[in-house]
Amino acid sequence: MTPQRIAQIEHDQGLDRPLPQQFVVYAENTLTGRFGISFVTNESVTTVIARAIWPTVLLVGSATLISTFFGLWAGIKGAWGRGSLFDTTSLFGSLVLYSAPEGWLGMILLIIFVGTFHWFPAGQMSSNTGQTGIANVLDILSHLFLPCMTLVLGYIGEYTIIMRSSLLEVMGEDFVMTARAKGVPDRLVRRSHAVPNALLPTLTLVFYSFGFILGGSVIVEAVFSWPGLGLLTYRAIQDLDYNVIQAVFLLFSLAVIAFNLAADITYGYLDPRVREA
Amino acid sequence: MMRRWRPVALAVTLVMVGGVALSGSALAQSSGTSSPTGNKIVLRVGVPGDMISPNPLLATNGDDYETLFNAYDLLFNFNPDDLSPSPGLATACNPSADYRTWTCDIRSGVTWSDGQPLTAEDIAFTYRFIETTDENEVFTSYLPYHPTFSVPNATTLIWKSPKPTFAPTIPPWIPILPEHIWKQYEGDGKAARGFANVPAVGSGPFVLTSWDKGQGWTMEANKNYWGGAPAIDEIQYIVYDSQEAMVQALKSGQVDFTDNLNPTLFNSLVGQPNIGTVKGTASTFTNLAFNFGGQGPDATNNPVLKDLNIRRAIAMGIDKQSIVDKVWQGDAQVGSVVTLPSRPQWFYTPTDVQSQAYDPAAANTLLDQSGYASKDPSGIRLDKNGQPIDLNIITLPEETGSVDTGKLIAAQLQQIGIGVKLQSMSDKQIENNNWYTGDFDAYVWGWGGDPDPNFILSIFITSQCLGWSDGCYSNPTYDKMFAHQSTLLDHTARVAYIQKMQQFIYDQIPEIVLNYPNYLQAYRSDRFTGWKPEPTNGGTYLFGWGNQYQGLQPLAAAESGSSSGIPTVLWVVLGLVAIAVIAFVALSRRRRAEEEA
Amino acid sequence: MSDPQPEPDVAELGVPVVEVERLEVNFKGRVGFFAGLLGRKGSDAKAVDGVSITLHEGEVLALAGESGCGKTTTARAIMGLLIPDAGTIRYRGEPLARSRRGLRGYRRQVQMVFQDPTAALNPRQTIYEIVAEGLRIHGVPGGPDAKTEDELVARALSRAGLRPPERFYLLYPHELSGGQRQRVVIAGALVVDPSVIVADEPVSNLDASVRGEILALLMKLREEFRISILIVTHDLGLAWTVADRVAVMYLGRVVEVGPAEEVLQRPKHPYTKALLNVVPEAGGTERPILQGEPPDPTRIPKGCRFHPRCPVVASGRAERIGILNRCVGEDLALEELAPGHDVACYLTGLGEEP
Repeated sequence: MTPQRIAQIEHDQGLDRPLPQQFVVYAENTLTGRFGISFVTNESVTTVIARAIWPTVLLVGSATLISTFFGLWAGIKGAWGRGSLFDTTSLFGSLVLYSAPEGWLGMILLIIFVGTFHWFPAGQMSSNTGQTGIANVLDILSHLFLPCMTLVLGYIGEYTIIMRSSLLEVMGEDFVMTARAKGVPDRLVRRSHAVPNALLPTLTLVFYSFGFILGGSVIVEAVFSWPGLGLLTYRAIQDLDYNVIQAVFLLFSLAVIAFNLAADITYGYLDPRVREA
Repeated sequence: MMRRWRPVALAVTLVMVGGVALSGSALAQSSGTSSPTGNKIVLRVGVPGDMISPNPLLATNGDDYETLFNAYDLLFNFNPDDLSPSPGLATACNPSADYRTWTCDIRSGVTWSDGQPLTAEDIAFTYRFIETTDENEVFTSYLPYHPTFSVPNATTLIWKSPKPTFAPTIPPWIPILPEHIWKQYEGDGKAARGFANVPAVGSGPFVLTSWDKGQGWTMEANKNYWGGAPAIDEIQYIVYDSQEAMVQALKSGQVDFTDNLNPTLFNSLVGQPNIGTVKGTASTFTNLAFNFGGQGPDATNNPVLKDLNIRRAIAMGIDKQSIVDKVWQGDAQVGSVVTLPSRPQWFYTPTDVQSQAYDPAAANTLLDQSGYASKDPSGIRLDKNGQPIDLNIITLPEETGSVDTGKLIAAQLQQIGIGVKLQSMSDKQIENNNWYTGDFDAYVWGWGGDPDPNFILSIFITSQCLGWSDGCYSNPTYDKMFAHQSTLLDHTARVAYIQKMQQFIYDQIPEIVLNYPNYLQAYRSDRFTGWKPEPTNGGTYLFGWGNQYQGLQPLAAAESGSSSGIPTVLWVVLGLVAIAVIAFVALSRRRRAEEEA
Repeated sequence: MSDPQPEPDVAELGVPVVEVERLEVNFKGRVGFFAGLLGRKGSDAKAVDGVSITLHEGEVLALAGESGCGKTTTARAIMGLLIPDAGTIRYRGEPLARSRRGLRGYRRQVQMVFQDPTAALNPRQTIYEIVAEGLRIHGVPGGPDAKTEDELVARALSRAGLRPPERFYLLYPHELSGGQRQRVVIAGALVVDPSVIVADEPVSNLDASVRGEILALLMKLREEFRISILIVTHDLGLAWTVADRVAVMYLGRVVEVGPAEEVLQRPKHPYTKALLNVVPEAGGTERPILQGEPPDPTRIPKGCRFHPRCPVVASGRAERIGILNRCVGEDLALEELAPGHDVACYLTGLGEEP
């Protein structure tokens, strides 16, 4: 590459201007939604991100939904039968899963379900055989299975532990005792007194982590070559694709802020004490 | 309470269903024209990274080059035995007596994949196009001295060079592009680089039909290929960002071939049923390149490196075998010269290998005798100005083995009293911050390149400083030698002279060639036969020097069609989950009803 | 504080409503998850060890003692919130059923009021939902004077002193004052027309200014609806103020029980006397004479459980009058000293005053 060509690229990218001016230009471009082009693919960053956003929503969305459902279920069941075999087992399992790195979990699932049993695809989002309709949806689901399971296993432990401890705390509260003393049936005590109050901190956590796992699925998406924002980030960092990196990090920050806001709004909706304040 | 959650759950479900649908339709669109697999014979190749671009002007990595090899023809192909030029689009190129005019006979009856005829006019266009439009200089070095091209008839190309040259027989690694597609971008580099080139109109044995960015790309057989129709119908390149996933995919038969494996995973595949492994001899070398500070006044190189005795002592202080063992786990050869073992016609064994063999005691003696006997309290030798000899060595995390090699070298040089400060950075960071200004003492990197050594030898001439030169090495004797080899048009004479040049570089040590890492691949031995290693002796099965796919013949497993599809077990799992959920809901409904009764 | 209520004579006691006989409740020691894996076990605690008390119709019985003496556990066992390890609890002569269905009718009759009204109210329910819950569980009573749920909730709220009741329907607990919250708790108990209210420290978490009001409310309920009230308290002054009878507990046992007047003016047990020493209404000196460790139900001393802290033992008087060996070595039971006044102390056998 000649120095002339380099000077030309620097000029095109605005890198020959003084730093404060570069910042103003960056701020202006960002606020007007212009993120520039990817150095690697020469496409506009908006296109690159738009392509990656749905796969991530699908993966993270389904994983969050499933892990929340089962995590809360196990946490509730564990706390309600504290000390039972189920509780001990699920608590131990949760601690193990909570501490297991996602990349490692993914590798284990790969070795078991792909290398040994040949059940699921090792990566990607579709077989790229041009099928359509229901066959295409099923093809995507079979590709979704392993990365989704990895994320589910990664998050379920945390949800179980938080739900369990927050329900245990609520179960010690006098209003639960009052309800029991009044003769409210056990299941109803759990459903209308204990769980709704214990859900508050857990759901807040779910919302917060939703904001983070948009970016936090980087490892899992890289292990399974899932074409979402995480993989985009992973590759952009490897390739030093600064425009893409800037845009995805901005997106991740916005996601965290948005989900924090959503959590606050939901909290207000669910908890009358917060609603008034 | 639960009732309130139902709308939320419903909304989330809707978003997810929308996600599946939209992603599905996006995929369907990006898959473009490809039709269902059916009974097509498909070769599926797992690759550790995506293409960067199928646009030749942006070609960067091995995947890009493999795709271009398949999609386009070059002027000449490579003879698999010794990688010398063999007939391609040109059947022969003959020089005039002064080697300034080359007349090439171009194959007739060749057509582009869109049916248009391919003539010598397209070749002339391509070379002119590179001159005017290849601003990133991917290909320009193949067309030295700004030659001009003329086409007296459809099967003749005349290459006129202002100076004598053998450039047409190197041969130029420039994919021949269809003029009717690319003409509109001539002279406009930005527009030309912006051209997606999918699907690509080419003349090669395969046609690039679709590229699902980040996931892989598909090439369909060009049944009208002038060299004969390939036996397979389609190649699917599938990107795996994790090598572990790629290896599992090979084990489960989801891919038929995996490229560029790391030694650990490669070794885990050796001896597995139905899996063959390929240990390709090196097509790259790794080096410790010294900086001599020719970049300008800002260069902060350590002048002590200009002393050949220091460089020799460093060479003797590095245990190349330990790097082979620890960094490459045995899958590399100890390095010596700048040509590669996979280019047997050029590869050369220096006459005095022992003079640079690993011998820290001899290195210490040499340093003691060369005026670096005194040391500072930490054991680092002092240079002639009394400054400790501390080298700032850059390593590149993106280059396999670079960082670990740097750590080993740092520890080994400590033994001969030379201090090393390691610094890790990306190639782009080096270019932006260090390389232009000369702000480094050495780096651990490497080179690959053409079969012909012309290019690799050129990087050591003075005029390549701030061009392709690693550290602005400059030696008038070598400059003259390089200029002289360019005039040696007789092949045998040139081979002999180039050996002399390799010996010169080996002795002068502008850089230390550390290793030739093996190129590791694996394939399903039960699906295809007819692999064609390039070079024939110890080469790779794919990602070699072109035309490796045409000879592939399907075995029974591949004939029965692709095994991709929904595994039965998934149906079972999905069914069970659905039944469990329905049962759960029904049971809790009933229990609730009982309670409230 | 309001004036002491006129105490009914022992002979005027109504029919027994709740009878507790030889009640025992043990708590299993609990250890952490990893300690459990290592096979460690916590030490068991005998929270209640052979308590017998009777609550009569229309009576206010105070169950008094320091924290940890088992009074709250006794109250919870009476509520059926925990299953006793031994002993029986009878409601109007019928032993309590162990089954959920069997307890249902009982739970309608016996309602509970907790110490901290803020904690006792589900923060996510409106006042209406809270008060109506009892009705939803036990059903709105039918019959000739059938009322709707709405009317019953309104009645309970106004009986608990929250008027006009409609104003409170849609409020949440956090929007009320502490006193109002306790009234809501009481309304939630009243709504099902109970015959017994078990109140666990009902005013100790309230401001002094509203304590009297809540106590007056409880007294009024007893007067107007003949509801029996068991008040669990650590405060003998409170018992003095409201109770007809007082049972004093120490380390899982009742050590003295009898008419409030009798027990509080002429305590026969050194522990009762020590407690009364800090109650101004009983002419206390406000100088605590109780010393030593607070009782620990995992380590119950032999003999009289109170002996390690007993001033009679500490002053050497027990030794002088020759009961020390029995105090530290022999378990002892309640003995009737006067009709309706039982004490467990070796002093009483000698006719000695503590």
